[in-house]
Amino acid sequence: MICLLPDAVLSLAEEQRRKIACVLVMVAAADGALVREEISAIESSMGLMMLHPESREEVRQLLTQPPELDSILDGMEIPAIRIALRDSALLASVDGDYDESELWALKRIADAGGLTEEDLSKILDWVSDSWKLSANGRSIIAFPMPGDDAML
Amino acid sequence: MLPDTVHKLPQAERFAYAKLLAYMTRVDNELTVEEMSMFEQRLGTALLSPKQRDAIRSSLKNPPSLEECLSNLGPEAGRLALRDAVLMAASDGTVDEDEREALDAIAEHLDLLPDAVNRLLKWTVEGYSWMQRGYDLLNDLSR
Repeated sequence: MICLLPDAVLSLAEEQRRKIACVLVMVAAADGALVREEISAIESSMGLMMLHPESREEVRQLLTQPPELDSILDGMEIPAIRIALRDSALLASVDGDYDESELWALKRIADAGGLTEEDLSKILDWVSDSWKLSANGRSIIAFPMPGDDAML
Repeated sequence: MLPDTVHKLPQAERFAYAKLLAYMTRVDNELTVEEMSMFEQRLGTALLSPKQRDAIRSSLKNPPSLEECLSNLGPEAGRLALRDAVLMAASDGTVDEDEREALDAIAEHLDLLPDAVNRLLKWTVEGYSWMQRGYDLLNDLSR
């Protein structure tokens, strides 16, 4: 995943940023399988958030023992929850589709962030734009992925 | 954030990719928070080993030459590195002359079309708009 803007997440406290990364681990693990794309996306997000190396290590430990979502959401501020929702939606889409457990987790995060299912649906629409944008970037450098043609 | 393919490259290629980005961070002799964040993001995506990450971070202090970076870069990693070098160069809001020259040199080395860098810059602006729409969405949606 590529984040294309200096992110608002940098204005959050380290603990809030760490919790966002924990939410991502939980969402990635929701379907019972943690694929390389998801690990790459989590590492990417931790880099973007410029998490302290110790915090990154703590988050990596969770990859083998994912936490309960509610325990992470407790103590998170609304802006952090919403950014976590945005990034979780992007993360959940990296393996091609959202499965039921991922959608359940996304709904739970949306609810904690004061958002409705309709709001979540708008966020998922925004996420789907990322696939076209990404395919367009690859077409410029002549390095397409299978399926890019259909999106462009 | 966008779906990406960097993590699928062989490890040596990912290392070379990251080295070129380290070079780009120092082209204008400034390293802004935005560039650092983008750089760390790409480093994370590349799933480098801890030793490789350390080596790349020390490249920030002693940047390699562009020629050295390009000589170790295969065509696929090179193309992804060019795309992400454009993103990094633009992350602080401007692409200065030195950065532009470096981007053009990379594109030429990769034998890309002459307008490749301009198209990537345009794509970056579209990406900014997409990210902004995401922020707007998060801000506007509320019960």
